Amino acid sequence: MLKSLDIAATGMKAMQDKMNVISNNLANVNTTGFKRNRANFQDLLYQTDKAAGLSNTAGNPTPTSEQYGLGVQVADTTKEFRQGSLKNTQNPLDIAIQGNGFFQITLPDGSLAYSRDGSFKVDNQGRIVNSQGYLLEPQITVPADAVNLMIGEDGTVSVEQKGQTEATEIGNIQVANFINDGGLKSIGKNLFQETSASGSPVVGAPGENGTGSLLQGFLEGSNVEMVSEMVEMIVGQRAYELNSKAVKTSDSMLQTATRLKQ
Amino acid sequence: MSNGIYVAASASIAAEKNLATVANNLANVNTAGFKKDRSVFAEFLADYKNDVVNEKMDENGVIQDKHFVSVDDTFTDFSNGSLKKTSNPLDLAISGDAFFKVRNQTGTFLQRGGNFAISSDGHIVAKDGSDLLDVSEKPVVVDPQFSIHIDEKGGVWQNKQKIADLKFVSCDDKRWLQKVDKTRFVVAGKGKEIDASDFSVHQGFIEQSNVNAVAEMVEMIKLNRHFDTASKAIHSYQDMDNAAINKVGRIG
Repeated sequence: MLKSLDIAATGMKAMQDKMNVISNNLANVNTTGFKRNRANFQDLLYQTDKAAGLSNTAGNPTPTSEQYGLGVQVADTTKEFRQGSLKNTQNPLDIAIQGNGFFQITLPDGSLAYSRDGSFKVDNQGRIVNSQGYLLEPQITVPADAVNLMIGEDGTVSVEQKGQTEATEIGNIQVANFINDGGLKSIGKNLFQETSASGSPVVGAPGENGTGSLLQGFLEGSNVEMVSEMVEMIVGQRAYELNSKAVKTSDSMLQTATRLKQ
Repeated sequence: MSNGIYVAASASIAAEKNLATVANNLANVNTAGFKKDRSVFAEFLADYKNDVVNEKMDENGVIQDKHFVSVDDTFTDFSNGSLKKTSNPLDLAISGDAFFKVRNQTGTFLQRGGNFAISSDGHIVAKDGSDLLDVSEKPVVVDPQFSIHIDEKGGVWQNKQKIADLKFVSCDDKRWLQKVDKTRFVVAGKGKEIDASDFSVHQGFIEQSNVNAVAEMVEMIKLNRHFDTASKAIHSYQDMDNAAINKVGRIG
């Protein structure tokens, strides 16, 4: 049957994938520390019916070829780690990273995950945990009699305790940096996991090794921009429509061809 | 039987092949760095037995006038696509006549699509892991601690130091550039790879596909009508044959 029918179908499929990515971005427009995804496309293989360089009757090679592209596919969905906007919350355990780096979170199975979501809480034993109750790594325990908690730009956590005039240092928050953060695997709940593509994490104090510094009392919002997602959605929808026209045209040609035999 | 029916059929086949090209352009309307294709039609003469004689005659001495049509070539239109701002430091767009050079295990390729990433060993790579090459045809190795700045001529800067110059190439006659997948090209046949000079690089931008949706729709309407017209001609030939068989020579 017609090649164009399948080619246009790959176009519709790719635009459907684009819409899936946009929908997920829009659904997470208010998710703390969310990083938008972008679908990238690439063309598929080419079918060469006539190669360039074949000799013509005069013995000269023909300069162009007859090639048919077989459509489009999703090359990848890239996470864009651009900084999201910072929102002042005044909450002492809300921490934002200004610049590169991730908080380290211990999963229930003991392995580490990484997150940009800095809305931390204290559990019933005084340990600093994320919204799911997973422990922050390195583990920091806030004493029960603490009245004030301070987090420095370099990750130093100190508390003022009842009856004491000077602050006591209780731990250091460290951040992990990846050479290729685009290679991290999203596992949901604002968490990422290391992969062979992301490389091993370089862990250090915030502000070192090219990582960002911490900002207490702030949360990093989603870096999804509504307007650009809407524009992408329009583009995706129209491209879907265009490809459906190519399907219709192929169909109409097939119909005409079928009618040739009366 | 009339031979003309085959002429009409050749036109239908050409329209069908053209639709494959248009459909591929439309499928890639959102593919960064994609360059659209166009079909070139050529007429050719068939049953052309005696090509020494200038007169085109068939074996019965009748002057041949059957012009068949076929898709002769598909060629790629290398005009620039419009640039879209993404602010992603490894999205690079070229305006002008140049290509990035990338290398993987299967060879080196020219590519226009400029969405790159950093591999776990610190190389700037394309989305399939192919290395982006610098002027000495080596991968560009970056230090993840510093942000990457790429200037207008493809110099890669980190921490106020130039660490590499990207390689930009073109082809002396772009008709020799043959498409492979992943918006890439190879230099085929007699084409020669040359260093590009007339270009500028824009960091944080992506070159969009140069497919114009309106033009493709018009092309599609045209070829659809072309196909319909050819099919009408086939019908007419069928009617003529039908008349010749069933009506001519009938008495009463």
